[in-house]
Amino acid sequence: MNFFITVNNREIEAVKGETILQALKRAGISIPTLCNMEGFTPTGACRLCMVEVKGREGLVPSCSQPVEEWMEVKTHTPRVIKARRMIVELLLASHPDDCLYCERNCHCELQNLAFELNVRERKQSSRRPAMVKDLSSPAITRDPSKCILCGRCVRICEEVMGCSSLEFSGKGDASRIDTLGGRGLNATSCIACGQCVMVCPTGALYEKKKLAELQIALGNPGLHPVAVVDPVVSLSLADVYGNRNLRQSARQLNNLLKRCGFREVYDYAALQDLYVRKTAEELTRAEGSTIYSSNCPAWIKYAEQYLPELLPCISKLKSPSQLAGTLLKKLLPEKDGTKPFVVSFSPCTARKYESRRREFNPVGEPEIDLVITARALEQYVVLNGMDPATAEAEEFNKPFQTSSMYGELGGVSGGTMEAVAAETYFRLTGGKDLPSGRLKKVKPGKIRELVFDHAGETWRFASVSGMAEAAGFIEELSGKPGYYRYIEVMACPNGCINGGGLPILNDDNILKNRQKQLTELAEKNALACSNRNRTIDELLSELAKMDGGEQLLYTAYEPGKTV
Amino acid sequence: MSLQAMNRETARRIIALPPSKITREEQDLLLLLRRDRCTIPVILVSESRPARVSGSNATYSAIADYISENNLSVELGRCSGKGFQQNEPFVDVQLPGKSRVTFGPVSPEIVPLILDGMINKAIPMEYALWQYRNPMHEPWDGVPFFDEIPYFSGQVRKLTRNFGLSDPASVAEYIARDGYKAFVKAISNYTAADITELVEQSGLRGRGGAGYPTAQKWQVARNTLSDQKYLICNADESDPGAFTDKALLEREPHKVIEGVAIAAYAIGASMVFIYVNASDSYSTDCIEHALSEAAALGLTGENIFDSGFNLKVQLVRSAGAYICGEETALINNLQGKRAIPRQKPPYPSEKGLFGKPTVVNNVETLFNLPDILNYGPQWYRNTGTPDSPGTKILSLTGKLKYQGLVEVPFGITLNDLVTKIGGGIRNGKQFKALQIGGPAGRCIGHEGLQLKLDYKTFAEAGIFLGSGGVVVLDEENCMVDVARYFLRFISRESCGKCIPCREGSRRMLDILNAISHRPEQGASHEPLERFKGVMTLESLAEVIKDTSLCGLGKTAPDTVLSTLRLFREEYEEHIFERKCRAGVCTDLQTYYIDMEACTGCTACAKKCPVNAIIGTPRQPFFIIEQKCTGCGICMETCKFSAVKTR
Ligand SMILES: Cc1cc2nc3c(=O)[nH]c(=O)nc-3n(C[C@H](O)[C@H](O)[C@H](O)COP(=O)(O)O)c2cc1C
Ligand code: SF4
Repeated sequence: MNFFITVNNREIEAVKGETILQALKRAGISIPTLCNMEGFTPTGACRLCMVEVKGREGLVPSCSQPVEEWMEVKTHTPRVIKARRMIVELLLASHPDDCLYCERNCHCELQNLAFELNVRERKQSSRRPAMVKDLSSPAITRDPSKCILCGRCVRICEEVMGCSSLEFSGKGDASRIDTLGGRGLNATSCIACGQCVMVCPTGALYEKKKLAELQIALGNPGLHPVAVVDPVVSLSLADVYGNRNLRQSARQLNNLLKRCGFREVYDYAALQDLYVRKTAEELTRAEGSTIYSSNCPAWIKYAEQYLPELLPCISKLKSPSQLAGTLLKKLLPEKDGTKPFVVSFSPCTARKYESRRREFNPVGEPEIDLVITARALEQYVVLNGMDPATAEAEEFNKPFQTSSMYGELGGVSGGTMEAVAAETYFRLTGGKDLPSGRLKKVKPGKIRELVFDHAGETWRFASVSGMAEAAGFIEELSGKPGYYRYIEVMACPNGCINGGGLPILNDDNILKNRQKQLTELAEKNALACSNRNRTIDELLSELAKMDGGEQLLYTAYEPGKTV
Repeated sequence: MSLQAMNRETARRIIALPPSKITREEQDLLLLLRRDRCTIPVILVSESRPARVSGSNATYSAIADYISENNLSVELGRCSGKGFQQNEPFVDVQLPGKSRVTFGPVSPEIVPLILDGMINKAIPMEYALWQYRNPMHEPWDGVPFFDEIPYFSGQVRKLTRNFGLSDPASVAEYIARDGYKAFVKAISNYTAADITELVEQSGLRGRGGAGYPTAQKWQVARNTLSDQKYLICNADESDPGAFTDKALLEREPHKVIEGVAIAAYAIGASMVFIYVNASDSYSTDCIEHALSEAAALGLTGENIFDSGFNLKVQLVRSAGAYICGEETALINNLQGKRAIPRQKPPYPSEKGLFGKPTVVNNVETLFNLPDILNYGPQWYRNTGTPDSPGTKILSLTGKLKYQGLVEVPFGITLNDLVTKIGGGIRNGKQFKALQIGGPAGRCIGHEGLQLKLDYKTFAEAGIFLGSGGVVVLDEENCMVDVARYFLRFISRESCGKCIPCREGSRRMLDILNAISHRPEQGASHEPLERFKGVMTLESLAEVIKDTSLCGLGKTAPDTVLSTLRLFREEYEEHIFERKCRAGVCTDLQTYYIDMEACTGCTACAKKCPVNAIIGTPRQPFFIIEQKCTGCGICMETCKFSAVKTR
């Protein structure tokens, strides 16, 4: 039901059941918020979104107050602005003064708020006990002194990722956000997905960027640096650079990387093709049981921690990133005699954790030497004074040069599942394409399903994203083993296009756009499916010739494992 | 007397039947249990927290020893606390046919004196405090009656009428005093709607702080459709110094249970949680014991007294923070989460525990219910004001002559409370202010003493009655220090969820700390700077009140604001003159020795309790600022006025 409410003496339309904030947003009235999170039940903790409502004694939090027909709202009166400014001043009172050196300098919500509310001096200062940075995780640094206790990380960790690695502790002026049990993040249930980094308004949570390491490696003449680039990385940077021609922008990124000092640049999507083909092979061999995907490292850590009984069902295939590392290390030296230094460019912070797993680090020979996120890459390009707009387009290098449509779709939740289904169908039917239009959205954005029949047998495929959602889905399935033949699990909601290592853009539509862009891009790909990717055939035959070549593609899991 | 005196069947008959229907023997038993009659002398030692602190257990064993040594035929027992902090521990003595006398304070040494006298029918007058009126008893000469004692005569003891008389650990004694009759009558003869209607007519308002009409809250929960409804009895009470709710649990736990059961029936809740303060094991043990007695008599459980009504009562210990008393935080805590308030609406009565309609009522609110049902709403309305009928139990503490748990009718002026009941300020000092409502409350000065205790009047004056803590302050209290004390409590006990309350109260505390301490070395707290702090204090307070999420934050600045308004000159003295007229903020000044005036006589150095003064004799001495605690002894000692402050 729609009706009108009065806001600042103007009528705006409101929908029954929504909050004042939602109505205001639609009407183009912007209200500052800190604790509010799109799609979550409001907590009303930050009190920044307070507005005046006629007839109500105190100010009212617009984020949690449902609209009512009689309402007369004032959003920017002196009283409201004074309150908002005071709240920001209070936060700043005990906030460290080192903006210039802060990870989030210029991208900090607190900084923006202080600017918007015209806070021009430190009117109050209050001391907080010194707090120690938590550097224990290979992917994420936590600096509690920057924390303003908005609670967004706690909520995303618990409600979306199902990990509860972060929690509120203490009370009153000793309140803080801490890891579960106060241990280093490393020793908690943290799966390094980086979603907390994405929602942190300040510099209290940030990834380990490793840009200095990158620079040193690129400047070392004894190394042969090569890059593997996930299509989501170039996609997200295209957003940042405002480049609408995605294929062009990916090729331009290759050029930028070369200019940074990389000798070769490889397409992650090609390895996704390999991953899909090997998975389908495994699937057609397996007898009726469910196989879970293994390309998301955060999901693997989650399963090792919470679902040890499921580990035998998870594909032993290495993730495309690690596949790239292994194959490049094993194949390249024989090709040009220098030692490759493999840098994986990824939308994901958990890849940093993955690359440090013991089994991927045979003595002195890590498969992946460095993982750099899209966010860090953006900074590195700036650091090197390069203008992305002027870069020429350049192809990826062989052997991972071309990829199929399905290879490119690996970053969207459901992409791998669809590819594996098509590939399986192809194998089963001896070369037929899977008829289109079989994809069903069971739960929009979260669970999808694909079903086909072959030789009297029903093959069901599913994909699920968001760790908490996935855990619930898996639990529901415990009663029907083998109902689905293949389940793709991605820890981040909607998949890698929402990864924890992407630039933080604060754009509500970014996900939808990325999904659309990536799909459109992939659909333009001349190679429809993974089996058409000839380079993979060549690679596989080369591997088959090697002693134990096939072995290189597989790994193992351990229950209860932390780094 | 314990339940052995009354078996289960008798107890159930007495509860369920009108007095005319019970047997002669049963009536006799009731007389004994009510102490209207006794066949041998009865000695009862009071049992409460203040009594324990004053050594009631030692007194009890001294009496027991005396009895066995002299081979007396005497019944020795316990009675609940009397709500009068002076003269604890109390001992009540009742001889057959004579009225009951209270002695106090009774230390083990004077036990023989009293008992000797008692047995020879000659009371040692100097220890007798009062005797209780009872038409069946012959009074003692020369002992004032209970209702003639000013502390008690100013009160209206309705809810607390049995306090100090019966044994809280005995359900039989409670039953003898009409216990559980109201509940069983309610479930047998009335519908839930009838009960709500009666409570509506009585005008009962919630005693948890806000004074919300109880029946209205019930009605919301009653009207919300749900397969399950809950009642929560809020007995968390963790304000510093408050003890009224705990007293109810320990002095008449069965009345709490009866009230809880009536309310549960009225709202249709089959599950009740009694949420108690975990830090107070005594009151918790009392209610736990009472719950097991009630269950044994079939007063809780399935199909109570064949009415078809089922009731499960569960005792829950709080997470031990002040905020746990806030209803939404309490509900979060019951669900196993962190005790943090949430934004209302929806109110718990619509969507509470596990998303079901849940009524949260204060324990004192529920304590009123048996009386309302037994004597009717009209009787209830005879006391109090039209807006706030009935009585209120307060904890009266501070610089008064008499302190303790008092029950007063609504409508009483604060002045009567202080002078009539409290007996005025002790030691002839001057009244300065009265702090009411605990940490959420505010200070009231002389002018405010004419205020009448009443929810409406208080609301109009912007005062929150809170848990009913009244602290009386005299000229020896520094108002800046009082404000600081409560603010420190708030800033520690705020749940930390919302920014204005968490950061704002810490900020306000910082400012108060700055004006009640001398400047740290190097820091320039020049008067102007400090004064700016006070100006900020006011606008901070305004924003905290305007924006905080829960009642704690909304009232957090009240004590500061009210003292700032009433005693601004004290603040200004602290700021500009570095003077604390009450002499409480000793840390306000920097002491130093004037080199010109000092003769090096060593007198001050010898007196300094922390050895902060050094020097060689006949040379000027020196005060080490970092060591000095600002006690001022040196200044008093110096004959040459060489110790100065800055
Ligand atoms: C900070 C805070 C602490 C509170 N503590 C208590 C408490 O200890 N006991 C209590 O009965 N109510 C307390 N309340 C009030 C409860 O939230 C609730 O209003 C009350 O239990 C309702 O009972 P009533 O309707 O019987 O008054 C507190 C409220 C706030 C804001
Ligand atoms: S006002 Fe204070 S106690 Fe209440 S929710 Fe906010 S921080 Fe917690």
